[in-house]
Amino acid sequence: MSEIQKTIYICVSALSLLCYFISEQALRTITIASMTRKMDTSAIVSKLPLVIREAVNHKIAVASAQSNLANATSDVARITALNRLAVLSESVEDKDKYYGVIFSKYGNMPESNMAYNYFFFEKGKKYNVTIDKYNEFIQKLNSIPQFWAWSSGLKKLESKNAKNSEIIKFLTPIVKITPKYRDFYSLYAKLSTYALKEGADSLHKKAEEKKRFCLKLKTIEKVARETEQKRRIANKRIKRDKIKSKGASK
Amino acid sequence: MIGVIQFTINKLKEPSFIILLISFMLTGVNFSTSSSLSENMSSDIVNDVITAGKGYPLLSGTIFAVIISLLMTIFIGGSEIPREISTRTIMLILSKPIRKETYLIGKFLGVFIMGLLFFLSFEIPMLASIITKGNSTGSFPFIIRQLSVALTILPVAAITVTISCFTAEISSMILTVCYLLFGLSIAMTPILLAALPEGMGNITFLMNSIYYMFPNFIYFLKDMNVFSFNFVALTIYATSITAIFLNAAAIRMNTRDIDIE
Repeated sequence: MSEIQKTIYICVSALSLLCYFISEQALRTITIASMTRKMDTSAIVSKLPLVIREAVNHKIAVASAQSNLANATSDVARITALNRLAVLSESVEDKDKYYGVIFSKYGNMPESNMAYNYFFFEKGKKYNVTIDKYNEFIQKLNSIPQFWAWSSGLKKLESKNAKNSEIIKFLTPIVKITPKYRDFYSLYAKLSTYALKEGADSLHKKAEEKKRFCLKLKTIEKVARETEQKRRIANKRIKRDKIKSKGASK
Repeated sequence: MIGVIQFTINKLKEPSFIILLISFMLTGVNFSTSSSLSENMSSDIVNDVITAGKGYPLLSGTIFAVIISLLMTIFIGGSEIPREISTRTIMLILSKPIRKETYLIGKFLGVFIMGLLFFLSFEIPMLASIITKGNSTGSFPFIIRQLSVALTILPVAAITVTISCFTAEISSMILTVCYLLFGLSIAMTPILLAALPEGMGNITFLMNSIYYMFPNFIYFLKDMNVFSFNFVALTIYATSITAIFLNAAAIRMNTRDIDIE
């Protein structure tokens, strides 16, 4: 291929590429501008390829959480939005920022559970929640969040290769409470195992007792299902009574 | 160049092609439905994009004619150059005072004309049938819009000829079909993303790069008026794609050693 030929090819390529990009942009702009009917965002997203769909859904969720935060009128709503933003954040810095706000501003509220868990046993971070501090916080919670806090705390300690004595220290308060759900069984089983390893016989015995006690209880899921069923029956009864009272008044 | 075009079009003299053209004409006459593409599509977001804006819609029959003629274009265009290389006919042609670029453009125009003939053999009888039935849709701009969709054949012929310069007969047909289908599958993505609320549809550089590697045939199917800026942009779009591919094919033809092959 001669030099002149090469130059011609390069010129033709450059010119046709330029025309291609400009005409494509024009066609796209015309198409978007002429779409008069407002399209539903979810309908648009459902038509996108899976790879992009996930990214767009993520952006929508972040925007929705940011809007919730801006419009929040109560502390609980603010904590919920901040928690959501922290969960959706991909960078550690953002997670630190959102959980940091929850921890520093709303640390005394039970809803700040996730922030406590995030900073629990994290020595390098701005905030560090020690075992004692976390246990002190857990005592303020109801039974179900208590279970979540202990089990997620245990997972974190195990992932951070905490010493057996530290795990025992974290789980010891569970022998002092009366469990309400069968799910606590796993926590007592763990405590029992670690206590046996460390030779803490009395703690091992107590954990075993509580473990057996848990077997008599219902699981959180079952209780929730039963509660939902009861609520539905009650709603039906209220509706029926209303219809009856309307009929009687007529 | 005219000689190369004639050499390509000579295929039409074969009885099988004549039978095919006649059967297309007869199908076109019977396919005189005046329902448009958007009417036949279920209520869908793609339909919203196609019907966006003012203009004349494409008939279902026109879409059928385009699909058939595109398949014929791929079928003919994919086999022309590889067959002439394998049978050494190309050496005979290039021994004349013909440049490789001229040969390539001649082949491309031959393939395009054949595709166009197949399209018109279906479309003209169909439109004539609609007009003779006294259908209100048969106005002049409407008919021009139906015929203008033949513009689709231009880039497809160029893509097929270009791919056939790189591969063997069957492979080039398969690759062209795969290339066009993949392009069609991602065609809606940038339009949909642009329709999202501000800040939601920022696509990555990678996605944009992938999208620009494939022609977007959705633009050819949109409702439009032929005498509008939209159509001018579409013509430039089709021509530029054709030029990009033919340029690549010309580079390939000039750099490969046909004599050894």
